Amino acid sequence: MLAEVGFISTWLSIALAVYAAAAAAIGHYRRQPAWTHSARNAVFLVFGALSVSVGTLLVALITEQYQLAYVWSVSNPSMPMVYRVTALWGSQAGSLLFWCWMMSAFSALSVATNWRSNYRLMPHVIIFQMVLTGFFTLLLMGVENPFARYWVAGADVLQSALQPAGTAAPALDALSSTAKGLNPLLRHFGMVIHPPLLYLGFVGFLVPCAFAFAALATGDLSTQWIKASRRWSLVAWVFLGLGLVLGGRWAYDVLGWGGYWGWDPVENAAFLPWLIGTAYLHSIMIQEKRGMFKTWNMALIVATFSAVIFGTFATRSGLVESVHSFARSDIGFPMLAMWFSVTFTLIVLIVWRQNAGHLRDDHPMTGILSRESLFLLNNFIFIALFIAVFWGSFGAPILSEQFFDTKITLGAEYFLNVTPPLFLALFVLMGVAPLAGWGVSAWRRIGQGLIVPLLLSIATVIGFVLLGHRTPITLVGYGIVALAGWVAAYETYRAVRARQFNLGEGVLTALGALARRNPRRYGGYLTHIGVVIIGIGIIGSTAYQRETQATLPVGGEVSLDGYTLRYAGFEGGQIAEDGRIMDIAIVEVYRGGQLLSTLRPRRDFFPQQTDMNSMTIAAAHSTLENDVYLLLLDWDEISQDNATFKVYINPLINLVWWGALVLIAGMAVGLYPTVTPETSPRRTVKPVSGLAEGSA
Amino acid sequence: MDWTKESIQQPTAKLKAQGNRERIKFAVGGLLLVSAVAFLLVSGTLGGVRFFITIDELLSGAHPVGETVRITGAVIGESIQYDPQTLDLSFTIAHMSVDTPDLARALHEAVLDPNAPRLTVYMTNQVKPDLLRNEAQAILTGSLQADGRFYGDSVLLKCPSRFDDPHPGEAVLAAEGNP
Repeated sequence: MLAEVGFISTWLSIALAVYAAAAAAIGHYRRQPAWTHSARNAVFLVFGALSVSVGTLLVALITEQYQLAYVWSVSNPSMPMVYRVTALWGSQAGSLLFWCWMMSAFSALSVATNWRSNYRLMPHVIIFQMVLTGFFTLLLMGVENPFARYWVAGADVLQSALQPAGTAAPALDALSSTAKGLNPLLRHFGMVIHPPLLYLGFVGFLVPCAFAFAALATGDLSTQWIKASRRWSLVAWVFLGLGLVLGGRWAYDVLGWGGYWGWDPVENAAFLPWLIGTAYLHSIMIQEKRGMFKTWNMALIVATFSAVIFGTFATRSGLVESVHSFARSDIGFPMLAMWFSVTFTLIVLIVWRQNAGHLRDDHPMTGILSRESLFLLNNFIFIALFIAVFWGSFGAPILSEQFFDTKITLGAEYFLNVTPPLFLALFVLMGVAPLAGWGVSAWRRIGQGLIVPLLLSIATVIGFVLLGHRTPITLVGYGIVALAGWVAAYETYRAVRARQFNLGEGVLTALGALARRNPRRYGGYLTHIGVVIIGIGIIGSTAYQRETQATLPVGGEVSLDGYTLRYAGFEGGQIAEDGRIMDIAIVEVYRGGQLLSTLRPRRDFFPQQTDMNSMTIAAAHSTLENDVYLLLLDWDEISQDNATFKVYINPLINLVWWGALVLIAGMAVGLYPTVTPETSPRRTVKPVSGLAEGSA
Repeated sequence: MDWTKESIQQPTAKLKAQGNRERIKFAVGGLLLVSAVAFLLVSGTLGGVRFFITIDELLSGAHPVGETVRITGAVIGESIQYDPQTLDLSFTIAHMSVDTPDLARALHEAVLDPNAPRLTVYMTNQVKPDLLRNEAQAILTGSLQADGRFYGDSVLLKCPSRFDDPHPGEAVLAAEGNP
């Protein structure tokens, strides 16, 4: 019954999405508001129908309905509840359904919150969102139906959404005893929240792109589309960033190579929209403040969303070889066709509006040291990074195969050579741009603002030297990255001091008042500090990682970088809640003769898995200074007396995760509503007469 | 006050000249930046390029000994040798067809085919990957050396069954002894 409910509700959502797009088009072009209102209601119904679909699959997973092929392939009776829930996005079909549901949720929410304030844009926003939601849902049901069931008829296996005549369902206990369970690699807290965050980031960019499409289609090319979608862009950007960081955390914990970012094509596919989305978030500030970069901003949001669809295509089609990718799938070609169609349509619209003079800037570019020039430079470097990462991950392999009858790949060396100079240039700009003024600026003004942060950066570098980090190139890196952070911190400090002096406020009160008065600036500073913390973590953990390996008898010790690890004992054959069998080594970590912690690196064995049936689980002693990261490689099965370990010391790695938390805090401040004349309730644009809410 | 035509035109001309100077600065700066980025990309590409070739192509000598390349093949399970104390790992891979929608079949056939070209891979300081098993697809970066051995620097493994599960009906029949 569950399969039928999910199957019908999903197809219903496709029909509703088609209807919503068509009704919105009729409503706009025939000027019949009743159709537009009907389209809006259909958007809500699409969300409702897909909620039923997702709910159905979730219930099926929780209540162990193994007659559903998807449930059978990603869960089994021994899996704990949390993994049954996360199995929803544990494989292609479920995760695509989840993706479609998120699209519908974002569509419904953006239409609901903008219906009155941006009524003129709504029909085209609905058309764009529903065409894409309908397409992805159709793709899901056409290629990867998550509600498919299987029946056994004699020796034949029949697959159908509805039971074919003359067939019989296998006994439920036979199905449950053969159910496979979630891929062991996905049984990790990082995988519990990493995919939803990444999807939130990806799908979140649907909203600003839909508003851009609406602005281009209607000709309402003021900054209204940016104002309406700025928060969506910011939320999408932060979720995408967090998704990337959590993906790194998952790789660090699960893949057992001591690192977190391998420049893998699928990692890069998610990184690309983040890069160009960051450029967009900076660039729209110029349009809002100075009415400049109008065409550029359109191009950036189109490129961001285009990168989202391309990344999804690359990950889900099997285009690239990656530990993160899904299986080779038939969804590749239709998705590529959709990517091309959406991108081409939007580019044509931009060119058309540009040629018609509708995207002309209000001001010309003036001083080369003005804030807008520095933002343009920032954009340029983000685009350069985008091109470098795209070329290395997809451009070179695809072009070489298509045109030169050979296939080349660019390894991690390529990325490690090309990207650091560009990232450092970005950090330089992150430090300088906040000190530049709008319109024109002078070296002197910027130089004065840099004195204190420069001194603090030099002190920071000396601190790293005392910590033992002494490679000249990394010290330069630390200095540049720290400068960006100190500029943000010092500018905030100066503003707090001014309020303290003028108004007699305490530090926290002054900080709160600043965040309320100018959330974008101080949210932006906090975000910069988060990125700086991540940057320092990346430099430290990449340049100063140490490793060793040793085979130890019980009581034996190995030392690395001032730490001593003592193999204290072994616990073999421990059975966990989800049925895995764990062999655990007990290792004590000492520093200066003092016991810091006891680690339990282990090897898990999954008896019900026929393919990947064992997994090495690392253990780590974590501090802000570093991680002592330990892998159990082997042990004497009989006596358990000798065990082999690999030890990594990863300096500053925890700053990467902590920086992500600061990033969230920065976003939270940046989202705080600014009451400006343009957005105050008194000046809110009312719906056009005749198209008003009540006139339908 | 002097309201002659010349006196009005003078500041306008001045502004124009200033605007031109700014434009030239932007153009020169832009050109320098584009050149720097182009240099980075070209030098990075030349330094990081790896030909993705088959075992057949590698053994035919099309690429010079010592050149770092990327190859793929099907892992032959019984050839896997691993010393956890030294972290020395070796295994043999068989030539496989990569342009196939049925990866599992391609891997299975490659391992069973006694005539498929084979290559033994050596890796040092390598933790044995959990996915290294019979009929896994190995994608390796490394180089063929003069001693005829392929020395791998990194390995990526894919197990098709990890992605393409058999149907429940098939599994039930197999469990009941009706393959």
